[in-house]
Amino acid sequence: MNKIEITKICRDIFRKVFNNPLLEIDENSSPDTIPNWDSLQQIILLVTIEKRFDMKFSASESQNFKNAGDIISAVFNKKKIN
Amino acid sequence: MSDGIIIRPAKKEDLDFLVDTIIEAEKSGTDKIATCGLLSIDETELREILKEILLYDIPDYELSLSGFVVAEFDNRPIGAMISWIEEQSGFSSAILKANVFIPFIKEEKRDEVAQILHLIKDFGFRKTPGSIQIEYFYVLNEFRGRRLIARLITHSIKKQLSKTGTVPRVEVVLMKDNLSSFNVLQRLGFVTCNEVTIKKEEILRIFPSDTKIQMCLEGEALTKLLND
Repeated sequence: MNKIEITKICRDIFRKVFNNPLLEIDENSSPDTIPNWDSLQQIILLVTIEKRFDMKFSASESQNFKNAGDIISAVFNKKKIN
Repeated sequence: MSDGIIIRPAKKEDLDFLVDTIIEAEKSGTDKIATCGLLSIDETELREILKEILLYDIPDYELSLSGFVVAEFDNRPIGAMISWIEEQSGFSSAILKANVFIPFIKEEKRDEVAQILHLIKDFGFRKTPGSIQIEYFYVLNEFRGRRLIARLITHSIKKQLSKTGTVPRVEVVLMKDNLSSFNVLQRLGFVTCNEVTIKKEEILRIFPSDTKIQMCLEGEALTKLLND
């Protein structure tokens, strides 16, 4: 699975979690740019992504999640290794 | 004040006491630990998780070991609390806290956790960037009644101010019926600036009460505290 495909899947998850079917994301999308992206949405987002990609983020990965780019890169790196 | 109590930065050796502090502060005099309810874990599991997270020592949020101060008497910790400057690293403390808990959410609990979080999503307040946040103040029963929490809070505010060099706002979130903490804060000059109530069964299953308040200290009241 390449990064473009992963980004598209993540975008669909973002849309569902934030209840916005038109939401677009990029690497810099963050709680500063997407309304209602708070800590609870962060957890819902990340557990939904974990479930969708059948993976588990490690502590060293999740500590650094500050924007959509960090999350997508972590997914890509994990799927690449597997 | 020569009562033999000193206030100092927390050390790794204080880890167990800091975990006690966090858990007792969350309980607010009840038997409910909100984090356990939110993540579907028990107190024993939470204690181990908190120890691990505290040792990461990530700065600028409520689970930063080096953000805690400890009151010590006769070489043992008797009280503690944490403070930080909101978004000093550029990211909200709430996001930092969410991130560190992710690895501890069990795969089989994901749906349950997501559902619970969705139900309580409006049960909180936005913290003002640049403000001093204080949280988790706790003193052993035998040492209460000595204004120790007030001393811890004043010490923490001064510590954070020495980093910023400005006089910003101080904020704290607590359960509305946590009267002991409310009274301490009010005596220090804090006023209630926000309140939220969620009338859902899930809230009372997880939290000690269904109403949270945010109290703030700023302006003349803050200056008065610092000069007392």
